[in-house]
Amino acid sequence: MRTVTPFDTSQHHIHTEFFVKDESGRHLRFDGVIDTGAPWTEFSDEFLARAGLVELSDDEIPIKLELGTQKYAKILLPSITICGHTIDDFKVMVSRFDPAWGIAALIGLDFFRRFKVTIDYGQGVLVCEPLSV
Amino acid sequence: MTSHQLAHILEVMERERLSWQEMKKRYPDRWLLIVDYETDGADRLVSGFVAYHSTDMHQVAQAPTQSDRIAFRYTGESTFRGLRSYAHRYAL
Repeated sequence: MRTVTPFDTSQHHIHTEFFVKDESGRHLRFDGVIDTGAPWTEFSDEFLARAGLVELSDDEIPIKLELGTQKYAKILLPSITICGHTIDDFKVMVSRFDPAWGIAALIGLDFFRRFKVTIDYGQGVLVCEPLSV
Repeated sequence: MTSHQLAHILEVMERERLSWQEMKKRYPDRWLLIVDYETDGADRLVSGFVAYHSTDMHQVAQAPTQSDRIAFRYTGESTFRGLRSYAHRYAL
């Protein structure tokens, strides 16, 4: 299924809303940024904990100044929906995010390599079409 | 109707539905827990009830709610400038 997802071209990056299914089956909606420089999707540990998918560590997780995030685990999300496409058992990096970023995830190439993706700044839309097998 | 469902309905009735633009004006630079939100034809959040708000992301992330339609949003401008910008800032 081909989907067309609008985004705000005035923002510094491409922000998109997405859903994650929590441990009780509820869909939690978040804001994320498309990061074509990231090979893996990274998710805020604070919000994964909210979804009941990880336990927050009591240890302080430092944010490396030269990187901006600190990946410290991997998990399988039971279900994530981005740009209208749902993927089950999607592996993401668990990271500590800078709260000032205002986002819950960096959507990386592991999601987009499953699709033919067009970023159309003229129309302000992301067009995603699953790759035919 | 269960007591949980009744409590949720009463909780929502006490609140005011706001548009996303109104939320940004009323709660600038804050994290919001939005419940019972509505979306537009492009599935973007356009309105809802602010169940909790704070400048502290952790508090909002852990705030309880009975709703089945839950969204977390930040009303300020994201400071994210890409991971590479951090490397530039701290390059020798």
